[in-house]
Amino acid sequence: MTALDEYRAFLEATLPADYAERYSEYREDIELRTRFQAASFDEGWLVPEWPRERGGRDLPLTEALSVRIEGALRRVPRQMNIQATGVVAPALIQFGTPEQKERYLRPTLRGEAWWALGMSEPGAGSDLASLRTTAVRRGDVFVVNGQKVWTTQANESRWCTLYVRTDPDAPKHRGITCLILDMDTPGVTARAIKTAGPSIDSFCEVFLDDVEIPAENILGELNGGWRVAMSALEHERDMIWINNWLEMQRALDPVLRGSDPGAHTHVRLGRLLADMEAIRLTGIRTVGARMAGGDTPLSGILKLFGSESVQEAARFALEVAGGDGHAPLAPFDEYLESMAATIYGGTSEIQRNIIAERILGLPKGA
Amino acid sequence: MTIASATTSSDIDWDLYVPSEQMVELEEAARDHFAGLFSAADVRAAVTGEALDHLWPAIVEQGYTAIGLPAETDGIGGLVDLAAVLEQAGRSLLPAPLLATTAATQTLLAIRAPVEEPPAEPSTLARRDHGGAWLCFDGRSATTAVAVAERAGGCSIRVLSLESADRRPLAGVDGARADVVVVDGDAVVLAEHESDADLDAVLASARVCAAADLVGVAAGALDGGIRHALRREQFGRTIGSFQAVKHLLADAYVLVERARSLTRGAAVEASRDPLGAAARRLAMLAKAAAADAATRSAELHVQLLGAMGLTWESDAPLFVRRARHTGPFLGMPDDLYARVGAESLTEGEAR
Repeated sequence: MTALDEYRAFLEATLPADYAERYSEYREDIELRTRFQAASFDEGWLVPEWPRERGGRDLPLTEALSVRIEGALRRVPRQMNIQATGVVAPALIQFGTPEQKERYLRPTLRGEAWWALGMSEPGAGSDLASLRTTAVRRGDVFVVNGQKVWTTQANESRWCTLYVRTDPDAPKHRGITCLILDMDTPGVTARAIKTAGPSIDSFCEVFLDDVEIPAENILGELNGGWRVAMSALEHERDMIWINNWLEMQRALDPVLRGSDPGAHTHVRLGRLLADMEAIRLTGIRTVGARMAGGDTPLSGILKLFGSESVQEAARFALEVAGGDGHAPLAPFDEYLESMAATIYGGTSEIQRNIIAERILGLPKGA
Repeated sequence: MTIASATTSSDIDWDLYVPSEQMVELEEAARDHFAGLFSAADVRAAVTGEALDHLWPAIVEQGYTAIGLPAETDGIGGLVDLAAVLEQAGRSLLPAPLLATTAATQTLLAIRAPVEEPPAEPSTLARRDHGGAWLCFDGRSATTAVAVAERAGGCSIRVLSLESADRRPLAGVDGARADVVVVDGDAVVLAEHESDADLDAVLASARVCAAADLVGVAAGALDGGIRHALRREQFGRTIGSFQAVKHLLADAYVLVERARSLTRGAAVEASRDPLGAAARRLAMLAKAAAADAATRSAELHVQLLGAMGLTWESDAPLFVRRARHTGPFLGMPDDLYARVGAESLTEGEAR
């Protein structure tokens, strides 16, 4: 039995029998989403290329990719706190001490404890390195003061990777440290900001007043936070496109299953199908290049291409759904949600700068 | 319980996605060979209609027409390797009928028609024009044409001899790839084949060839644009340091990789099952995406060069001509997108 066959058997056993027909309704089923993530971890399907003790199966990248594509084709339930698996866990594996890995990885990957990413501040969005939240060492603790904002799910999270300034005299990229913050620590206030619609994951303001964080909670090195932040965002870039690919399919499913919305829509639909296939094939080419032992610039385009395509798919689905003169709510919610994709994790404008400078070799701007 | 599209699978043929040593070698050898074989001035002369027939023997001698043929017919490599070499040909704006010849040969291979040996003479792929004559792509020097026509329940594929045919040249935008028109009575039918597959299935491998060439055109134009942006200074800085310019180039780069990925996927599927549904669909999308990328990159190249880009000395218009000539071959992008879109709606209703 191949890994793919085993995964299919796992899905049959774990998902409700009517999942394929009703997956869009199950989308709101928090219990199922939570249970599915824990079961995926327990059976080693959560990150199949990782070692067994971390919820993987030691699969080669190629087989792991097939497993994930199969999951997307079957529209598997979304994780509730996607940044835990996608961003925090890889950072813990790369930068964590043995004690930190032991303590945090398992509950993080099973979805038992959620994580917030304490990055953006009122004055530091795309220009993350200009962050001003301070941490001053006092004995065994750092005393933290400042404010974070747009912090997704901070009010529901157990922990937070908090980026703070530990050396105000160093050049701005070199004075930042990543601390692991327990959100229950005195002095931490997370306040949800009412979002433009219910489909957008809640984001928060986080106020930090004389918050004491144990010094052993440094993730990575003192003043080495920029490196943690950058590799955290780049982690899983080779695989993250699968989420975009899945979101596109979800957005287009109602169109493809409905009646023909008319010849005027066909070109645009064909373009979207091309985008969707191209995202998948670029992901496969990226892994293929890694297999051949080379570095590849390809993963650098996947964030921009994937998020812009998801947005266009949601836009198209909304416009098709409004064809009889009434804009229905469900596709509007998805459309609104898709508008976040080109903002979080580095805006499209920043992505274009990165592509131009790192891949095409153009000079940094003034 | 699978919701999946009929043409997407989680089984991946990794042997064809991991760049093989053979492919990389063929690609590099082709790039170096083309760079020494002809110059931009030669391309410019060819565009105005000057015949560069001396290039063809070098193409055959180097073995390009053998790439993608089965080993038992003295072939080497597969369609994926051929696509890699055609991309280099496109990038260099090769003024010899390699794309036309390989598109014709690959069409015969796709329908399992006999191909005895690598073609020594130029060939072309012909389709009916509006008047019912054969429109032969880049067929000025072709001695044979693989003429594909749709019929009820499939296609008929004829191999025509053009040796004694009256080849009527068409006034085109790229004289280096001069299309000609031939009428039925003029051409001798050398062989006739039937296929139950529909036209888009029969043309899948040829579309892979065209897409690969156009990806190369796109990449060549993009390179030209980047080189200029790195060199040209205005307001005391290289123009490539301006975000407005960076973002245009970044978007063009995404378009090129989008097309390259689709072309690779189509080549892989056509290698596995040339007349299959996945090859058919991906080849239509690849051809559309590659034409998009080529025209966009070529236009951007001109825009970045400014007025210089509209002079006869500039290479940029050569890319525009190539992109606009070859872009329509085997279907305009919007037509291909629209048909794939419409077909996916029909499949959806069937689910």
